[in-house]
Amino acid sequence: MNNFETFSHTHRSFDIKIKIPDTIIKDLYNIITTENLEILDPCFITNEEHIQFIYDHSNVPLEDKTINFINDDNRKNSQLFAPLLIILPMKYPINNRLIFNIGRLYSKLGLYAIEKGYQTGFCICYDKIAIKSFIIDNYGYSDNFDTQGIPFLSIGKQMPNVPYNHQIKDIDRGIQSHSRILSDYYITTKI
Amino acid sequence: MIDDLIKIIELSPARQAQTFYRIHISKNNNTVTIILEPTLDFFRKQRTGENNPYLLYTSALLHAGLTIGCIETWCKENNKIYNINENILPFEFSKSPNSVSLIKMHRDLIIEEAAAFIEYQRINNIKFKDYQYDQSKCRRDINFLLSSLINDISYNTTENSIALAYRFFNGNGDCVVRRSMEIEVHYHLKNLIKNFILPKIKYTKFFQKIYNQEFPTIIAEQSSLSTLDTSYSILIKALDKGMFSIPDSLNKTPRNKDKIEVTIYE
Repeated sequence: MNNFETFSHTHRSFDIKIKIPDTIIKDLYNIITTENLEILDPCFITNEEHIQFIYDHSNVPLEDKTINFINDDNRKNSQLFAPLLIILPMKYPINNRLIFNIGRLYSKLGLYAIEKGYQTGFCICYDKIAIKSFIIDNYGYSDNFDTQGIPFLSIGKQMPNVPYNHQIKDIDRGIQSHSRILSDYYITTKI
Repeated sequence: MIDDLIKIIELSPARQAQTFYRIHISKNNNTVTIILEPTLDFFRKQRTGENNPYLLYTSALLHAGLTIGCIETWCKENNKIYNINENILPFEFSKSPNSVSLIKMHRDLIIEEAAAFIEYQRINNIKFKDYQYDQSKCRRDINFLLSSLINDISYNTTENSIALAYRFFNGNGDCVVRRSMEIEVHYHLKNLIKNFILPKIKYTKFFQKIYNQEFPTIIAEQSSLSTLDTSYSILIKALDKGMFSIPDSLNKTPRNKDKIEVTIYE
């Protein structure tokens, strides 16, 4: 149950210097391929410059902008500042079941990484157009894929002595992430 | 088993899915069934996020997938047999794309017209001379209203207007807005959209000083006019007669019929 609890956190303080071993990346790749979903080749990003570019084109969710970062449109999202970023681009036309199944797959990937001692984050707050062109240019995709509605899965080790939900690049500013609402209200139990 | 599953749902990163989905968990003999069904909050979200129903829908599906993925992983770790039965319908694109385009291209005009109309009433109508309001909130609310109308027209439903009408009231059923002025504004905007913007008839009685009505070649779909009528009548009646006049939605969108069911066997 601890793994599920870790998975429930949105990790924002990855240690970018601790690389993910190739064996783990290979295992993650195998988990994706065994699901046999109709997606393009999964995109694994480990290049530090590329990660920096993606981080520079990230932003924070609307609710954070209106609660924590009023009048600060330049905030970046350090969920995307992790040593491994994975995105599963879809082909056009997008079908709804595929999006649902990508969600299932992300859970399996995330829980596997946690089992191996890593932290995970999901981030959909990025400049979709800029990142799409960047991935096409650098990872050999044609432009027939869509990343709309699909988040990056971030994997990495936690920065020592930094809480999981602190924006790693904002430590001195001491701003925590927005707390999501626990909506127990929507769970109904009937035994 | 059920305690673990409840805990996993509470913990899953798809907690956000609970703002999109109502999650039912039930136990029957040797099986536990978990059902995810969309909620009205799903539609409310459409007015607060990127205002793109498609993106919100994909986000909801992805979060539902995350929840189910956690449950599957737990089942595998605990050697439980499970079965996933999903009824996810294809995303339905707008039934009235031209009408939606016409409203969207006049969004700023409509918002400014509402604001100017209120100002005009305050100055010229003795009934409203003491009317106080927050102009930025007024613009925001008209924006919500337009998103709601667009979604109703898109999917030929009244769900969005009904959800919006409930927002006029607090938990005790007391109306939280000034009814008279709101009603006047709704009548004015309904007239503007239905009789001028959608049929592309030049409207000259603007209360705002700067306006730019456009006349593209597209033709508004006839069905959108009746949906607009119904949606506005729900909003106006709610303000006039109270919360209990708000009807149930008769025509639900396909997204509201989606259902994801997982059965787990002991």
